[in-house]
Amino acid sequence: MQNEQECNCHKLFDYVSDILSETEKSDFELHMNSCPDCKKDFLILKNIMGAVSAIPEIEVPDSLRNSVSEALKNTGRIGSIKNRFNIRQIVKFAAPVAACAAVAIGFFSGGVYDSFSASNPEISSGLTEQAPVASENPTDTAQKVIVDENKPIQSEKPYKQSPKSSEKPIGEDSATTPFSEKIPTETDSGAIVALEIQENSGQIPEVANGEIESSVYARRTVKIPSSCVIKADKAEEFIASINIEIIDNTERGFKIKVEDWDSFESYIAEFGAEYEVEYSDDIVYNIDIEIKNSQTLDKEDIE
Amino acid sequence: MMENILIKKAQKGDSHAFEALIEAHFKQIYNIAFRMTNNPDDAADMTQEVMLKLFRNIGSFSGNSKFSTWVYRVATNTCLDELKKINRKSAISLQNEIETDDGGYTMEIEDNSLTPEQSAEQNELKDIVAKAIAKLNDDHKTIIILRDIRGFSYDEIARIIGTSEGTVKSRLSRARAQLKNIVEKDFGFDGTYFNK
Repeated sequence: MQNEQECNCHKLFDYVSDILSETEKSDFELHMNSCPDCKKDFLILKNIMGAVSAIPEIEVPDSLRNSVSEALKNTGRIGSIKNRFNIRQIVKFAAPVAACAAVAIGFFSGGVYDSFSASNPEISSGLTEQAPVASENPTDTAQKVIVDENKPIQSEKPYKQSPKSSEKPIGEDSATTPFSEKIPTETDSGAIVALEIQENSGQIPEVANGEIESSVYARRTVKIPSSCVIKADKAEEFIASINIEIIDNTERGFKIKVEDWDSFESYIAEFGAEYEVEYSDDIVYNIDIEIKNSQTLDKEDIE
Repeated sequence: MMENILIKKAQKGDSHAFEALIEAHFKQIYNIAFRMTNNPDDAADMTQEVMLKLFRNIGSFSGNSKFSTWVYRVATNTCLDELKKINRKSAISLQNEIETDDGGYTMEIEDNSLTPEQSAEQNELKDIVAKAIAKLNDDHKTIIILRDIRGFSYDEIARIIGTSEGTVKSRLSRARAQLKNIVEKDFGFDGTYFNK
């Protein structure tokens, strides 16, 4: 005869929860036949589980369906934005920055540039395989350039790049505007941009085949927003809603890494969280630009 | 397969596709939420939160598991999170009412194998059991709802909560023990029916 201790053990619950082996089940059933306490417990449990399984299913209220439908329409999606966060190369991010800066580059004046041709501008950017790219150690190929519009940088080598088509045509109407006044300090994407003329080779035009060619070389320095601190009150909710890497937990909030700034700004604006942008002094890169202007001259002008 | 098409569309942000996709699970999710809280308002809020979370995160569904497994995993976790926020020990009203189509409320469930007296007593037991379930701890509550109320298999539950079948059964055993204890001690259930 089994003692009272065993009658109170949870073998009953293991029995009804399919934990016992066939042998153990048989033993327990045999035991119950001769143990009033276990048998009573079994009947009680049977009634309880019967009531549990008989708990009715509830219909979804129409009001809930409607509110869910409405809420879904107003909800931003994570997946599509998340894909855009997977951009690895900062050089890809720089494309819209380059386009903005390229527009600004066209707005310069003086001398041979007065007749800058809108139909045949050649603007090249440093966004080629040879171009320096953003690096945590910017001294590798790109020189870390201190942003200073008034101080030309002495450089030993010209920055010649393969000319490429500009993404936006350069207008003619700003030819008289001094270049230095048009250096943008901030693009729509929030990057800090400085533009410095490295070398003005336009003063000595080369004449060849009846054409004057002149070039201006410029180095564009871009600082990219590298991280962002999301204010604490919305931070957890925001971070839980998207899959993003947390760099640090600061007093101001969670610091997260941002790779695709445009997408991030769009999403966080929807979310309504406050944030502060941080720039890393080490993440700068230089885009070397060559702008060519061609003007056809008659032979007699040259001789 | 239609489900795959709807998933892809939903992942691109199509809320209508998502609604069509989730329709098959809507009632189940609502009932899980209802049994978690035993309160229609909380259940509605909880269900809506589940739906939004599913839609926001459907991009993370990679297809490595069944879609339904992913749905109920998110639903269960979200319900438990929301339950913590609600921060109630018991969300049960004294009258555990269920809405009917005509807007009225009734607890009448027909059971032809019982006498009218037994049927009434069983309804009363169902009411008590529903209240007792809401008193269980989160793990036990989840397992009783998924297995004993909603009828998920051990395998499905294991996938949903991210554990083994063995653990599911152990947890179920302990949950049932706790449930019996609450029904007996907190509600005076003794024997087949109440000890009056």
